[in-house]
Amino acid sequence: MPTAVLTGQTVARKNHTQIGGPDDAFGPTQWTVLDGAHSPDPARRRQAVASVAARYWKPVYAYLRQKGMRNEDAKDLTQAFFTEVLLKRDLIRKAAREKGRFRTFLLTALNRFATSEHRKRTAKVRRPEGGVLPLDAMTDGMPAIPARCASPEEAFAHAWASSLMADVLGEVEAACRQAGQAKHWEVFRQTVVAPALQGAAPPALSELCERLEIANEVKASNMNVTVKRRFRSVLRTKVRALVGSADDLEAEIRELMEILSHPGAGGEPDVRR
Amino acid sequence: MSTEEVTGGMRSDGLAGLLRIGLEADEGRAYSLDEKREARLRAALAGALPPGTPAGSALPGFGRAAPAGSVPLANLLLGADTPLSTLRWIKEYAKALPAAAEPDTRRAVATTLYFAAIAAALRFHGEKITTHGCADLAEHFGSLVEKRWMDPKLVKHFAAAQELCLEETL
Repeated sequence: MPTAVLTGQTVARKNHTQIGGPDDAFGPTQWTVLDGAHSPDPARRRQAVASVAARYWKPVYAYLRQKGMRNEDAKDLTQAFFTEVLLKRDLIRKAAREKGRFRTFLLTALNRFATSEHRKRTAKVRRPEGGVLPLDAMTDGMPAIPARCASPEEAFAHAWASSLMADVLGEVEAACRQAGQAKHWEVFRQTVVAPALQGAAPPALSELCERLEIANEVKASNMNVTVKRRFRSVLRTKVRALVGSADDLEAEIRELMEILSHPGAGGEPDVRR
Repeated sequence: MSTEEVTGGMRSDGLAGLLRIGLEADEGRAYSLDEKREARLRAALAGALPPGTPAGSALPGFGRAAPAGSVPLANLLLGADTPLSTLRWIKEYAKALPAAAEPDTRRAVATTLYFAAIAAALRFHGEKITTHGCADLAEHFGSLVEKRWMDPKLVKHFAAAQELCLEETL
């Protein structure tokens, strides 16, 4: 049975009365969170922007660092970007009308902002009072910039994809555990995730079966298939929320893959202070 | 503050490899009923109230009138500031959902959304928007918590609502 049926795409495509929505109709996206920035309530506006900022500050920060900014300057400008750019009504209204991919919107806005700031050559600290992000208090650290990221755009894409992937993997693991499939998750993590993300050599299935007390390699392989399906579903659901239409979903994934596969974007992360 | 890696040292090429899974065709093994329910529930929670349905054109209490397609159902069901009227609407909508195709799956999802709305009313408004008694509700919530295909966020939601109901019955 095709995956499309499971996610309601095929069955609900022409039926707009189904909860869940057809995949090709406009569905709630990251734009909808920004809708809160239109609220007449200033607290709600700040909350909407803060919500988006908390989610996407890492790619913005990574971009600015790759532009050559020092840590503190990049933090200040990251704060300023979300406070000044996203809170500007005109920009949000314009973006909302255009829809499209949220990543592209953010990167375009960031490019313009960085260029404008460079022109102003301001030495003044741009951190607004009570800015939307408590960057100094962030406990989950700053994003690494892979040593071979050739451009700020690649650094942005890497941080963007890293955050997305961390989200997806977290949700997949939680769903596996809820389904009583902790071993399934472990098989997937050791054979797919760890080799991909950390360059670790995948263990032999026979060895894995012995360690995890799985009956045989066929069973282990099926476990992988199960989690891969879940992973695919979660990934597509999350990417779908970041693009304007179902058509953009696969294009977005391909574009991110293209950027990340760029020779300049691979390699080990460096540590910058 | 350094720029230490926070995502477990994710390699760019590795990220690309994992993203590729999102484009792969399915392996072809038959889906289990639980897999179908899980996937359909995930899609439902990421989706929105459909446009053009009663009260679907505007959701009161959202600052400006938000079109039906603008808020993910998960946000509505798990958000403390979702108006009670919206939760009542979701409950009634879930009750009326057709289940002609894939009845087991659709019914499971509709039941989940129905009780999620009731749970939200209890947790965030202290209101019972159903004629089910507290003991009854506690049992339903408990049953949903145990479902292997249940979204983990809803598991916590139902567990919290169950606790409230159990307190009422003591």
